[in-house]
Amino acid sequence: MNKRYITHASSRLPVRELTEDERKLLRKNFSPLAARRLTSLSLILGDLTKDAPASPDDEWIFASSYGGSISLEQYLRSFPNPSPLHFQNSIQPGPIDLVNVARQQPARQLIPLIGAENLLGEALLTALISPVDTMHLIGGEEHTNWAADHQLGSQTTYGFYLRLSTAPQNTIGELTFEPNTPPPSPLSTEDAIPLLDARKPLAFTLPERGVIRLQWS
Amino acid sequence: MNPRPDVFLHACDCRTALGNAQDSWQSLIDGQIALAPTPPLSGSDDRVPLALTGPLAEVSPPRWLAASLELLAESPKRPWGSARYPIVVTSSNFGIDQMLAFHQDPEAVECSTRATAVSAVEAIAESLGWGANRIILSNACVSAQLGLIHATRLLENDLADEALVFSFDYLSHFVVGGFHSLKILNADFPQPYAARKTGSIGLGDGAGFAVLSRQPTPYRLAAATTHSEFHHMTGNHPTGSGFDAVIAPLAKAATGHRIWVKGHGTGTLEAGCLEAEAVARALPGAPLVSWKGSLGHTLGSCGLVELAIARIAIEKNQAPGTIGSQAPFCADNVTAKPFALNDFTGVILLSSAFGGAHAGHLLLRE
Repeated sequence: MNKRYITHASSRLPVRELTEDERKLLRKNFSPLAARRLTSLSLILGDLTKDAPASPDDEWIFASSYGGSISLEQYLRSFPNPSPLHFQNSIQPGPIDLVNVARQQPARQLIPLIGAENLLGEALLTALISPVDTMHLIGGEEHTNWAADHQLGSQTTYGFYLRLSTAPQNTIGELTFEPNTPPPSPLSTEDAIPLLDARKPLAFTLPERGVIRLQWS
Repeated sequence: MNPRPDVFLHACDCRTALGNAQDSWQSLIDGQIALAPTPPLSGSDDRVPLALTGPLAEVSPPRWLAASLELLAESPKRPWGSARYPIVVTSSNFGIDQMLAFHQDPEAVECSTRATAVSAVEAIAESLGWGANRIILSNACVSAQLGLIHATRLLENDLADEALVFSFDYLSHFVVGGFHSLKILNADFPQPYAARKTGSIGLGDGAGFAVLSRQPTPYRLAAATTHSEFHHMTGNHPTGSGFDAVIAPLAKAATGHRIWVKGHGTGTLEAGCLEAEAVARALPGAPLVSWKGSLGHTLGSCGLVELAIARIAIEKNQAPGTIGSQAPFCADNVTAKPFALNDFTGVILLSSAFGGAHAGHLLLRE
């Protein structure tokens, strides 16, 4: 349980919102029909995972505090005539469901986690206790004005992806769990992304339980 | 490599429009239908089948808060949320009623404090003094069974002595309006697995909890499987391959046991028939039932709600039938009437969700 190897890592640093040019570029990862339904977070997740091999026996973890905020806000705005399209896209875990449906990529399991300060640490622990050989840990947020203005959504737009394996081949780093270790300083998911992007060592506290460390080869 | 330790069900209960697990079981045995025609939106002339525990209104404090606290008061007393006693909270709605209320009325600031998944769970956690060792998980209508699987993995890896899984889904205009807009929540009452021309679902309030442990009880969670088709957001692969993928491993694990199946069975036509046919293929002769024709679909919490009712059924040696459905059915294994469980040693519990997600458990009585 205590170790997984990182075979692929990619991230997109936090910005307030994607520009139209950025969205246009990211849409090229999908067919035009599929791309029309994808909001910023789905476009980012699609881009981060486009070069990572996946199989139907793999498990996916989707870590996001707010999920598909843009579809959610569009659905809220559609009342009193609720939009069926925005409704189905707003249901957690819509952003990653849409990507995998567009790719017709079945999976053993998708575990969508929601959380605040410990979200990334809990997601890494979830990967460590999975019995399958390959885990895809993916996450991120997307900004929308109404939700962000009322602290009901993310202030920024970003994403990250780690492909984790039990096999020590073609590795670029490793993930370990150390029970009963003194905790490092707290690290939010958003603060962790630049460190992940720069391949810096990371440590996440799981209160009273231990520390999860992410180190690069 | 050490074999994975067995994980057992220590306690569970639920709340539905028919009451707790015991009352819900009795009402289902009696053939009572909790669903009632209800306007899906304020001022609507339409009526759709909903099984409510209170008014369909976005109010503060939310209906789900007091109901959750009342249910959780009946869970075993442990230092929940401490290092060895993790909590897994699941839902497909959380405080979305509060989000809708605040969006429609910016003066309803109090609603905004419980509108996100994190803040909704925090409201429950604060009231109960839960510690920080808790995780929130949401994958639409398979949420509760994924929560059971996560808790099982924590126990199997010796990261817990006992684990509490809790799920709650209370209806609001957000979700009722959404399913009504998809036209599968309409004037017709659901008839799970019935071979009709069109399908329809009903929705219900629901919450449930389960306590899992490695300490033996008569109820062993002997196997769990999942599969995500990712074929279509709201449809399944037409071959039924997704259902086969989740049911076949459970059928194999149940070898040597006489099994009955509590299916997902919401009342949708295509998915219902695919599920019934897949169960018949994998488990010939195993009776298949759905209770959503009475309780409605309790969404992300259905896995825990129906687990609690199934456990009562096992204790009482009688399973409720597929309430509200009339023959002809999609497959011969669909069982409309209550039946005795004296000769059965296990039940398979299934749920399905958007994106073609499936989850299943095998619960054995030992």
